Formats: sequence, structure tokens, C-alpha cells
Amino acid sequence: MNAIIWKNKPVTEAQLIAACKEDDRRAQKFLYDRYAPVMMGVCRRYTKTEEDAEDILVEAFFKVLTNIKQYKGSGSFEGWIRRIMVNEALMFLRRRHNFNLTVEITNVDVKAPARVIDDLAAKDIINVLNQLPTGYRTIFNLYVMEGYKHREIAEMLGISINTSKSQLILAKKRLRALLGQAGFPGAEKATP
Amino acid sequence: MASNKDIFDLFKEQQHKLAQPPSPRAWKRIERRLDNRRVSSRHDNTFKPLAMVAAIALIAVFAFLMMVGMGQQNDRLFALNSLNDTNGLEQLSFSDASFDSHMSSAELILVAQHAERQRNGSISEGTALQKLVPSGQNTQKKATRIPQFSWLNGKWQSANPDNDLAVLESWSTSGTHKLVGVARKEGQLIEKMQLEEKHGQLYFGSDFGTGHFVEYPLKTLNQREAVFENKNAGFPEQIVLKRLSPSRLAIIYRNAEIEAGNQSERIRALQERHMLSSQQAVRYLSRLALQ
Repeated sequence: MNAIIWKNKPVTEAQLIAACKEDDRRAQKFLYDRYAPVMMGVCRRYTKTEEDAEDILVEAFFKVLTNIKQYKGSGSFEGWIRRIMVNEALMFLRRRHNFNLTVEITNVDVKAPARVIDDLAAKDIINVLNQLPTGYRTIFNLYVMEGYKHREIAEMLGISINTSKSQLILAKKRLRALLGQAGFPGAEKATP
Repeated sequence: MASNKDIFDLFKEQQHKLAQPPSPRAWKRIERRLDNRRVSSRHDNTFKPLAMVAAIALIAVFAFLMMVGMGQQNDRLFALNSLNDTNGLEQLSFSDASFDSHMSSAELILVAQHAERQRNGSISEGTALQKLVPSGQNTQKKATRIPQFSWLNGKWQSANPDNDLAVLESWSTSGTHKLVGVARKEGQLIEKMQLEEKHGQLYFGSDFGTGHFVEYPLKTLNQREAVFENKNAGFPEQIVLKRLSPSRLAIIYRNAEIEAGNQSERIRALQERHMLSSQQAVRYLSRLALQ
């Protein structure tokens, strides 16, 4: 665990969380500063604009700080925060998108040269993800980035497991195409 | 040399690049919401106890009002139950001045039987003095026992004129709460007496010829006898008015405890004095002349 320096002295994450449970505003700000950038990246993957991502972040972090007493310390604290962020992002998306308006397709395995992706900058990743349809992007995020199973994604989004799978395949195909259009020919050469 | 990787794995490995600090406005928004929550929480913490106290107070007031209401009902019932008391103010009673709370058990039985007959039969308003009215509206608020001694009014003389010829006694009503009696012997005033009701208590008073009245509160009363007692008066401690017959009376002066063989009792036996016929008057006067 990385050492946390707060008030010019090292503290453990548990001590920081305990201070937040006591409604210590400086501890809350410290916690926010520590996790907000990562969580902003999480939120940004689900939305097409930074403003939407920040709205999700604010709402989710408010829930983190006001429900922190529910965290019992049994799992990763960052993982707990991340789940809150993802749930908030999904709530945001559910209000604007119908995840059932998709078609089912057969499985497609897309490979891309590793060196191509290694050269992607953050803005390139964001640009590519932004061009994915919401359904594709959401399932891509949940499955690839968060590690959820299709069964779990189906329950979270209220869709069938096959829909989740087909959307993921379409997302992969679209990513490959988008990477090629972005000037990363290695991706286009990847074989399905 | 580039090796093909699953495109998803590559994105997953690169996701750390997406981390970026949110705008400073984001924390201000969170902080503002936290402040609002803290204020509302503080209000809750302030007002919740107050609300609880207010609720408890309301319940207490409600319970108190209920108890007061029930208490008043109980008081009313209690007042009605105290109908047997002579000073019941809320009771409905006969405005019969001759009501006697010191009745003998036989009289009480008679009264109870009378009440039972009235209950079974139609309710009669009775005479003007016996209307069923709330006692609070009763013009004669308290039944006086003086009228029970109205038979004492008139003139009385010694029942044994041969032995105590000259004793004459006269009683008359003085107001509604007082009877006044005077005893004379051979024309000389020997005793002033009075029967007076004061503060709900009946007193027999006598000056025993001294001009200073000694009062004897009523101790017992029945149809034939009224006993007045004052143990601080010396002799007599008791004065008993005994009605021997409608026309015969005995006034007994005695001590409360009469020792056997040492009886100290003075009895003045009286009979109602009637107007003498002319023959009786002649006989009486001639006897006086012979003496």
C-alpha cells in the first residue's frame, strides 16, 4: 500500500477513511484529491463529454463521502469507489439510452498489433471510445475495463446475455475500424 | 517485433492514461452538497430531540387532559356516591328539612322501604317542600334539625306537681335555627335554655340560672331521645331530652359515666301544660290557699 501523507505525516488508508467517517472535511478533500483523477477517467470512458463525466463524478463522489460508513474494509477501497462510479454512470446512461435497441451477431475475434495500441495517447483512446455507439461503449467498458461477466452485464443493463455478447463483438469490430481510420494501420491489419 | 494482442487487452492496459483531474468546480459542487447535508443533519440533530420532546409533551398533555376528564367524571361519581353525606352539594335530594342523617337502623329501613316504593311507583313531586331539586338550587340549602324538636314548643309543667309544683317551662321558636326555653319555679326564673343549630351542629345550651350559657353538642339522636354531651362542663356532662310520650318530657342532667351506687342524676319530668278548666283552677287555687 502506498504511504499516504496527510497533515505532514504518514497515515494509513484506514485512518483516512475513519476520519472521513467522522465527517472531517480535510480528510474528505484529501480522499477526493487522491481518487478523483482515476475516477474521472472511469467516468469519462462511459460518457462522450467531460461535462457529463464530471456530473457523474460529482454525484458519485458525494455518495462515496456520505455512505462511507457502509464501507467495512473487507475489499479494496478503490474498487468500492469504482463500483459506485460505474453504477452512477450506468444510471446516467439508462436515462438517455435504450440498451435493447441492438442486433445480435455472431462472435468475432479481432486482433490488433500490440505496438499500435502502445502508441495510443489518452486523447486517442478517448476519441476512439467517443465514436463508439453508447451500447457498444458501455458493454466494452463493463466487460473489458471493469471485468464484469456477460451475465452480470445483462442484469445491470436489463438486456439479454446474447445482446451483451453481440454488442461486445460489434464494439471490437468498430474499434478496429476506428483505429485504422485514426492512422493506426496495424489495427486494420488485425485479423478477426 | 510486434505481437498481436487482443485489442481489448490493449485498451485495458492503457486505461490509466485516461486518468485526469476533474475541474476545481467539481470539488466545490461536492463540498456545497456536503455542507447542505451537514446543515440539514444538524437541523435534524437539533430538531429531532425537540420534536421528540414536543411529541412526548403532547402525549403527556393529552394524557393529562384524559386524566383530568376521567378525574372529573370520578369526582362527579364520587359526589353522587356521597349522596349519603349530609353535605353533598351536587346530589339530588328531597328538600325535606326534616331529613335526618342520624336515623336509627329501623328508621333507615323504613326510609329505604319508602324509597323502594317510590322507585317502583310513579315519581311524585311531593309537596312544595319536597320537590326533587338539585341541592345547589335548594333555597333551604341545609336541612336543619331544629324542626325535629318543634314538639318542644309550648308550655310544660312538672309531671309531679305535688313534688315540684312550681316548675314551669316554656319553649318557643327563635328564628329557623333556634328554640328558646325558660324554666321558672314559683314564679322565679331558674334556668334559661336554648336549642341552637350552628355550623351544622346542634347544641343544647343552659345557663343553669347563672346567666352564663354552657353549650352541649348533640351526641346521639333518635326518635325518643337526644343526648347532648360536654365532658368539660363538669356536672352535668350530659343533658338528655327524653320524649316519654307525645305529652310527657324528661330533661335529665347527668354525668357521662355513672358509677354504680354513686348515681348523680337530676331529672326534671315535665308534662305538657294544658289550660286548666274552671273547676281545676278552683281546686288548684284552693289547694294553694290551704298551704
